[in-house]
Order: sequence, then C-alpha cells, then structure tokens
Amino acid sequence: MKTIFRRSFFYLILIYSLLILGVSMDILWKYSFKLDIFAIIIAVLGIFALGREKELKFSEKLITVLFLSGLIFAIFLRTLPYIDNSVPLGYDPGIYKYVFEKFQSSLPGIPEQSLDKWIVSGFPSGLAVLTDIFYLLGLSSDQIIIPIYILIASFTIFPIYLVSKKYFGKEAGVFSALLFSFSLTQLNVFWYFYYKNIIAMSFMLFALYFMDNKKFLIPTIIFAAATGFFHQPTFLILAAVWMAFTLVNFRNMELLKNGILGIACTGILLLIIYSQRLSELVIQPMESVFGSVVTPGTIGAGTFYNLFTYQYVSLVYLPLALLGFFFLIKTRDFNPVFLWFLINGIIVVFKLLFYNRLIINLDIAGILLAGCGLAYGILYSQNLSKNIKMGVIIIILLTGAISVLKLSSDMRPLISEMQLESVKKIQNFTENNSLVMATTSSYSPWVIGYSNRTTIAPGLFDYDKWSKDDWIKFWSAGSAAEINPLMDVYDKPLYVFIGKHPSSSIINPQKFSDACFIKAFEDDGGILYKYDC
Amino acid sequence: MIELLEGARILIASVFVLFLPGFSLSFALFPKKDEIDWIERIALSFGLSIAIIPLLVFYSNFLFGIKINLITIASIVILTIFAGYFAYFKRKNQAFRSALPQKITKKHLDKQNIYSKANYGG
Repeated sequence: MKTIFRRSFFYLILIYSLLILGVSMDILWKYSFKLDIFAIIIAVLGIFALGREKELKFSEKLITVLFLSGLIFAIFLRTLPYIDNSVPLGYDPGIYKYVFEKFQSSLPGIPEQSLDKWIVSGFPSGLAVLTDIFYLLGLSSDQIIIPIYILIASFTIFPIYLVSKKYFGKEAGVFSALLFSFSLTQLNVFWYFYYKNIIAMSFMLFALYFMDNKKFLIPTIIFAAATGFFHQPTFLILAAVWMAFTLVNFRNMELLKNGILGIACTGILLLIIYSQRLSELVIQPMESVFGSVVTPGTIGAGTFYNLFTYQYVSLVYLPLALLGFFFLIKTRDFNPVFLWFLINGIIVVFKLLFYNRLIINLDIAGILLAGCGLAYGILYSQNLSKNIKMGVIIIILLTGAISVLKLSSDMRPLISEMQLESVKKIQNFTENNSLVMATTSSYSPWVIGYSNRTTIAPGLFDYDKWSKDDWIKFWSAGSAAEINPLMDVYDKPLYVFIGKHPSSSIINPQKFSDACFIKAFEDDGGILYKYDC
Repeated sequence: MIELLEGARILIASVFVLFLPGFSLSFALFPKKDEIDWIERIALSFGLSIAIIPLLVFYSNFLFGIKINLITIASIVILTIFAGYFAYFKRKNQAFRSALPQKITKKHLDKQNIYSKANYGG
C-alpha cells in the first residue's frame, strides 16, 4: 500500500508541476483546476515518500553553484524593472525618502522629539538610523531607495539558506534559497517597497538560527532587538515563536532559562529604544493586539493580498511546504521554523491581526519548509532513481523560475517618470513655507517625498484637516465658490497639485478655471495651481 | 574619474561598516574554520554588522549623547572589530586549554615515558 501511495505522490507531483508550468506560461487558467486541493492531496501522499537517510548528497561545489545562481537570479529579478525606468517601485518610496531626509537633516542627533506624529506612531527609528550611516558614508536617499534596496532585498537569501541548512540540512538549505528567489510573494513584497519588513525579516531569521543553542543567547537577543528596532509586526511573530519554543522545551532547563532571560533582555533593550514613544509604539499597539485576539479582525488586515490569492500565488511550493510541515510532525521535531509556520498560519487563517500583511512572513516560513519537503520528500526518498528525482526537482524549480520571471518583466512603478518629474518641479514654483495639496492618495507619498514642501494629503500625514466627506466635496465641486470655506481652513500660500495619473480623473476640473486658482505650471506630468482667494 | 573614485570610496567604506564588524564577530561565535561554510560566514558578517552597528549608534546617542558622525561610526566599528577578535582569541585559547589533559604533572609525563620505552623494548 505504501508503495502505491509513494508512486502516486511522484506521478502526481510531476503532473502538478506540469500544470503549474502551463499556468505560468498562460496556457492554462489557474482557477480551471482545484490546484490548492491538489496541493494538499500531494502533500498527504508525500508522507509515504519521506526518506530519513540522506542518500543523495550534493557536493560542496554544486551547493555553491546553486546558491550563487539563486542569489544572482534574485538580484536580476529585482533589477529588471529598473532597466528602462528610474522611478522607484511601489506606493511608499516617497514616504521613506521623506523620513530618511528628516533624520539626515537632524544629524548629528536623532530627531525623536521633533518628528511628525505619523512618523512617531508608524515608523520605528531602526531603518532611519541605518540610512543615517549610509548617508554619512556618502550615499544619497535615491541610492538607498533603489540600488541598496535591491541588494538588501536580494540578500535575504543568505539567512534563508542559513536557517534552512541548520534545521534541515545543506540540500534543504540550497532548495529554500532557490525557492526564495522564485517566490512571487517575495517579489511582490519588493514591489510594494516594504523596506522595514524585509530587513526585519532577515534579522528574525538570524534570531531563529541562534535560538535553539544555549551558547548563542547574546546573538539571539541582538537580532531580536534589531527586529523590534526595525519592524514591530515581525517582532511580534518572533516573540511569539520564541515564547512557544521556550514552552515546548520546558523540560530542558537550559533552554527554558535562556528563553526567559532572552525575552526579558530583549524587552528591556526595546523599552529603552521606545522609551520616548511608549504610548504610540508600544501601549496603543499592544492594546489593539489584545483586542484583536479577543475579537478577531478588529486590528485590520494590513496592506497585502489575502489568503485566497496567496494560495494561488504560492502554488509552486505549496505542496512541498505542507510536506515539510508533515515531516516535522512525523519526526516530532518542533523546531522554531515549525512553530513559526504554525503560529503565523493560525494568525492568517483565523484573521487574528495583520492577517494579510503577515502572509509575507508566512511565505518565508513556507519557503523554509518547502526546502525541507523537497529534500526529504524527493531527494532523500528511497526506491527512486537519481535521474527521476533530479528530473522532478528541475521541473519544480523551472516552473518557479518561469512564473517569477514573467512577473518581474511586467512590474511597473505606480507613476511615470514624467509625473515624478512634475512632482519634483513643485519646489521651483512655490515658496519655502507653502502648503501643497496632493489631491489623490496615489500622489500623496510622492508629493511629501519629492516636493520638499509641507504636504496635505487625503487621510495621511499630520496636515490634513478635512474629513472624508470634505474630500468628496472637494473632488466633485464644479466651482471654487463651493469649496472656498474648505480651502480657507488652511494657511497660505496654498497650492493644489493635480497629477496626470488616471486616479486624478475623480477630480472635477471645472473649478480650477475660476480666478481663485492661478496656474503655477503645467507639463506632461501634472498641473500646479496656486489658491489665492 | 572622480565618480569612479567616489564609487570606490563608498564601496570600501560600506565594506568597513557593513561587513568587517560582523566578520570579526562571526569568528568569535564560530572560531573553527570548518564549523560553518563560507556562505554562512558571509551571511553572518552582513547580518551581524547591519544589526549591531545601528543599535550601537542609537544607544550611544540616546544614552550617552554621543553625536552621530563619521568619527563616531568609525570608532564604533573599530571597537566592534577588536571586541570580535578579542573574543575569538579568548575562545580559541579556551578550546586549546580544554583539549589538554586536566593536570600535566612530572609524574604523569614520566609514566608516559616509561610506557613508551616499554613498547619499544627500551
């Protein structure tokens, strides 16, 4: 019976991989088959194929070649969107640029006291301090936002290899590294410009690498503190994994002592960091987290795609990740990676808190487990020739590479180069003390980052004095008279920027022909009006 | 030419700040060469540097009011590198000592000498 299941697993994973290959080449529609159910069936059957003896081992040379291929491919995928474009990807680069420059202008100090409220409540200082160092070394904000970001995002492959190798072996390590470079989710994370999240994720991986060894308490504390210094939701997951790992090993006095001491020391280090922002960055978020555990869904999903979309995006390694998970249950190896996948999975599936945003972390845990699944489910599997094993592995990896290459070549920035140039021009036509209104959310981060002017944006930053209804009234008004009372809320000089992005089509342009609005400039990227009534 | 020199300066400075401190600390954590492979060594070098240097810069400014400038950063980096190598040599010495027998006495050595003579029929 076992032999039948084992053979079925190999046939099915081969068929499955070919179907995914068809999907990634647009020959098949991904919703035509219940591929997510198919993935679960394969993972269950794969339990019978799991091998324990490392029968087939890769040479050091092959591991090096495969790892370097993964690293180069990861860098290539992230560079591809910039070949014919100089506009940073994603929604957030302008916000990051603004924060970086705010910190740089406060050197040789850290501007904890003079930060905008929205930075205090949503932007831990870690990344800004790191970029201060880059700045002092001679790098500009633009270089930190494009080439350095590409390198940092690609270098996540290093800690992934490290953790996977440590807990599952060298072959699993290199498989995880390759699967990371083929991950559509991680490439999307790069597009979304989740800078803090990406660095914190690497720190979390390093912390997990050291966590299970009593000799390495200090490096675990350092990486855990660094995770909290850069990104709180990632630290929340790390803290939960650390606590769970300590509890699971409660019989091992050394690990128990280390866990308690480590968590306490990390807490103290972070309390010092956040001592000036305790209310905004510790107390309020903790209240929301506890509230969300009691009443799921109250804290919000966070910006990212949902679990349903994620299932179809991660089809390449979904069965392997589940197989790795089953393998760890079978061998009762409840290591930090297992606990991470479990805890993060529960949060995402039961929609406890940041359940969409935390899919990013879940994906990394899945990639680590998929490396394990690929190694123990296929490479080390018994009664199968080496050629067939390698053939299946190559097809799986090739499928991943094709789909991610397609996504990378389709990636475009949110606004065009002309539109960004237009935003940069704002400072040439406005007074230093002027207020500039970014009229749609698509432009808000760009205007605050690239105009060097105080920015009023719908629902963002500290200077928006209007309610949602006020904004709707502003967008739909056909004459200046209708919005004059609203405009008078703000100090002057006041400017209104209308970009030539499709999102600006919600604005009724008739009102700008009124004498109250004087055209400061117009080009192919946008129009700037001075409000003077 | 100036751009090239500027690029080289940035590259060297970046390696100094973002690689060397972690590299020395990685030897403190894993003193033996074959304990970890080169990929792990590089990963730890970058990871430890990028985690530790900003934390130290922040704490030195926040707790002791030390200004953040190139001199401070260079001092922190150099101190971290020395701390790493100090810990490395300390661990290496410890490992060497623990590899020796607990008590090497004259009697012990004499005994060994007698046995070796006996083996060779001397």
